[in-house]
Amino acid sequence: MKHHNRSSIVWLQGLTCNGNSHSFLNYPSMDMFSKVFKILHHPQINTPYSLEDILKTDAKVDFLVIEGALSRSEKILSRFGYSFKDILDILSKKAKYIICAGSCASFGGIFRLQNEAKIFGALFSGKEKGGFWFNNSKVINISGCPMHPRWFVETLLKLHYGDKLSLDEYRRPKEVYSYLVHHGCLRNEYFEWKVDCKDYGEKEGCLFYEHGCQGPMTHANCNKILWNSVSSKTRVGSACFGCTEFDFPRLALYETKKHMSLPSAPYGISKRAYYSLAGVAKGFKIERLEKRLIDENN
Amino acid sequence: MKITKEIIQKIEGEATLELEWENNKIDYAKIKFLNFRGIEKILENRPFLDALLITPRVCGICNTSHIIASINAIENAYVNMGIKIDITKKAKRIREFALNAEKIQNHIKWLYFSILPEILKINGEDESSIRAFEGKEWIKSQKACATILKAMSIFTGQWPHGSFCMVGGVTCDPTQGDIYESMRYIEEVEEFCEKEIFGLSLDEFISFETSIQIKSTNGNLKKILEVLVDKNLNHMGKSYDRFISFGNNSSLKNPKKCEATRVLNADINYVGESLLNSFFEPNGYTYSKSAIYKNRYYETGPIARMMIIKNPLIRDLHKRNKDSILTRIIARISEIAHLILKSKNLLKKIDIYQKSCISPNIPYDSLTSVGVGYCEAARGSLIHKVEIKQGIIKSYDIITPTVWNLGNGSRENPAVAQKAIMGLTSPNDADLVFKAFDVCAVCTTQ
Amino acid sequence: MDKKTKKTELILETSLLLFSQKGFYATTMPDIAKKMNMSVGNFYNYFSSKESLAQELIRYSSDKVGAMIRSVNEEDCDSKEKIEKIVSLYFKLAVEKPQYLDYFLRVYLANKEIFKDGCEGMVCVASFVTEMMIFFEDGVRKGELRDQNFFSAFGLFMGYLGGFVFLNGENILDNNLESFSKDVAFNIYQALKVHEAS
Repeated sequence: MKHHNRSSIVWLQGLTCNGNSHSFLNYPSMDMFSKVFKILHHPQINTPYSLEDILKTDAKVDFLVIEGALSRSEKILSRFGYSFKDILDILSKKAKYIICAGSCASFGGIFRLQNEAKIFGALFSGKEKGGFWFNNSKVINISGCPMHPRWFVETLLKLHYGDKLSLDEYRRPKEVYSYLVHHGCLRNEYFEWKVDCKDYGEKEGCLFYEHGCQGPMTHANCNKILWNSVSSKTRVGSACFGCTEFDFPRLALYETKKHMSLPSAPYGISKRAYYSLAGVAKGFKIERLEKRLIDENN
Repeated sequence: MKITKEIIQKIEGEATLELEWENNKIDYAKIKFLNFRGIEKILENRPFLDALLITPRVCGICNTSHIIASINAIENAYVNMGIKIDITKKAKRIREFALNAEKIQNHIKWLYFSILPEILKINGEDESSIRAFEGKEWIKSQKACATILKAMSIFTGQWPHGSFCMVGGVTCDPTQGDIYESMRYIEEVEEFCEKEIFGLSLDEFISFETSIQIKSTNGNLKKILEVLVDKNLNHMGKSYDRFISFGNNSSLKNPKKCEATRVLNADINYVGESLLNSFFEPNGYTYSKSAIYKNRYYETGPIARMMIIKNPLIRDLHKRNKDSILTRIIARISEIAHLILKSKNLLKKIDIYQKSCISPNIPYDSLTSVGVGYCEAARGSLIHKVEIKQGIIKSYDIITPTVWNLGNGSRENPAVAQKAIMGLTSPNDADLVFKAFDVCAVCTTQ
Repeated sequence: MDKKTKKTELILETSLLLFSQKGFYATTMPDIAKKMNMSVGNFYNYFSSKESLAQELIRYSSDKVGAMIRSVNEEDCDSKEKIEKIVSLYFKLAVEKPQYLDYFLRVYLANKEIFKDGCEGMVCVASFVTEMMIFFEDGVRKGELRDQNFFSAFGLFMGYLGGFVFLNGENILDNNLESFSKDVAFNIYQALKVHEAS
């Protein structure tokens, strides 16, 4: 094990539920991870250094990981007796890369809703540019509520090995966030033929028209790499709630926003194209898709 | 009088223990939680189903317990409005299974991240095997947690923050193959626990009636018991010896409380929240509220559950050690075995041909009602209260297990953990007693 | 446009005129071929049956009306003005080229059995319906039109216009179609617009 080649990580938590840390703890090859990375400090886990140790050292840190929404107000956010603003000001200078773990650190997420003026993500406040910093080229956003452990680890690996990392307009790795949650959903056929789901708890039907599924508009590869190696929200009959996007959480998450009973078009598809296709598909009744997937009686 | 401040690390979130010393003993302890997020306020004026998505974000390690408490509260609101809610046994079993899997993960993490490092340190042993990310034992425990969460994700979609509950049941419709897959993962975790923690088969372990039987095993449980007794820490951390658990699962159907060994019925209507010492009152110093039952503090969690269902092993430990950290810690570890066996049982009983979800057929905006929902989270009873007007949340109240155990009372009437810490003679002891409660600071400052 | 496409379009235009003048059932395929100076055999190379011609015609006329509404959708003005423009263009089309709307009102709606295989639901009028969807969705999203079910809004708008053109065709109106344009547009706007909270 080559210790001297490992990249160092310091993990900080802002206003958070700790979900991203726990999601990271599901990573299937932690032994491999520890051969490449050394976590110097994490607030919840038995790591060698305390936050104070890190603040006092002159040594540089390869990755500063931030989990949780941020604020410049000491009253709103302090950690271990220090104002978070001071902690970030010191550590961001020591770090080579700043990784925002999850939607709260990326955009402000749920906890931004407590005080939208004073709580935000690192570089964004919802969709608006400008969060804790207005500009910071070290920042990479791994949005999600929580993030998937592979999104996080694979991004760090790319940076560690010097492989190219392309980022989208929200500074999210394109390899993950170019996909839509819709890609790989088991209910694709029902989406194609506009067959609504009749009730929750069945294998059949699409949740896009009436139940708020944002899969066709949400950037993430959930249905490609699967969660916890085995599943995903849509695979268990739940809608996708758009947790990797800047406007998460929307209001009325379980309802499909419609204007004159017409839903938004999927990401990057014009309304004209979508309504034409949808209108045509809706005109046909595909018998097989009206029946149960597993027909026990035949 | 001397005052020291300890910032407790390696727990869920962050807490500060401010200790007041008199004559080298801890005279009083203030438990401070900062970093308020305001979820109860964020929920106001949202359609009630949004709670299913937002309340799990109170906590990254016990999010499933929040979605369960939330759906229970919502369904209770329907029932209070006179609308019948039928939940099939299949849906009930899937919900309970998911909650159990989360609890198992929780206890294993607490054991390996929080307690074992302390025990090894106290015993002067080499800690390299449980060093985070690198120690062999640590990696095994992390894999076990990831595996039990796989077993659950087959039904919940993901962990953390799955969204598998809906009014009237669950959203998933598993095949028999899915159930076999899930069972296979549980059995892997069972094997880990038998080998590393209990030192014998779980079936044998749960038949234990006396703590002496633990001495005949070989695993981390035995080590912890022996170290605590050898170092005379087994009588430390006693509190009121009063327990409460609201149940709502197949092990404990109805709310009960326990005064030492006497078990009585409990009623959710007597639960209150005290704002004493919180920032919501003048001179407050913490964001956490305190939970009370008929104006008294009660302990909740695995020790409470085990005492109430009269588990022989825990009752035996309690005879000699009362509600000390020994009983508290062994109860939490024991519960892992019970939960694994119960989970396997639940899986075997799931009938995939039953309906997963029977939705009541009324439009969401016609719901005007109040509802209370509760369940047993890893650390104890979790209660959600919701007030809905025409489908919109008017108010939402969350009472987490940690606000029962780690509230802030007064010198004359301290809360559970405060009382447990008062009278100790070293900050390390205070740290250990505190950790024995398995604190979740994020749950406390929602 | 290639020769075959040009020819096809000419056939469609000619068919529409003949159906409009002589009636759908009275007009035969040989009638249309004769008018086009084509042999019957050659004609059948373009359309193998009256049914397939009938279905292509509805798509064709729907495309024309759709293109008209699209031009309004792409203008930068509010819903009230768009309604005025759609009504004006619709009535203008009814007067200058009555064969398009006539075909829709008198042949398509009245002879559904011809269209049941191949024109299920709104498949053949998709281009026109899609433009109305875009108009409505836009209006509601901008806060100009009241949110309601698509069909109740569509039925009000198109039912009204179609019915009016039908009456005009029956020579029942007491003035030319164009003169009604302003009032009809006003009525539609009043019915569909967002109302101030009461």
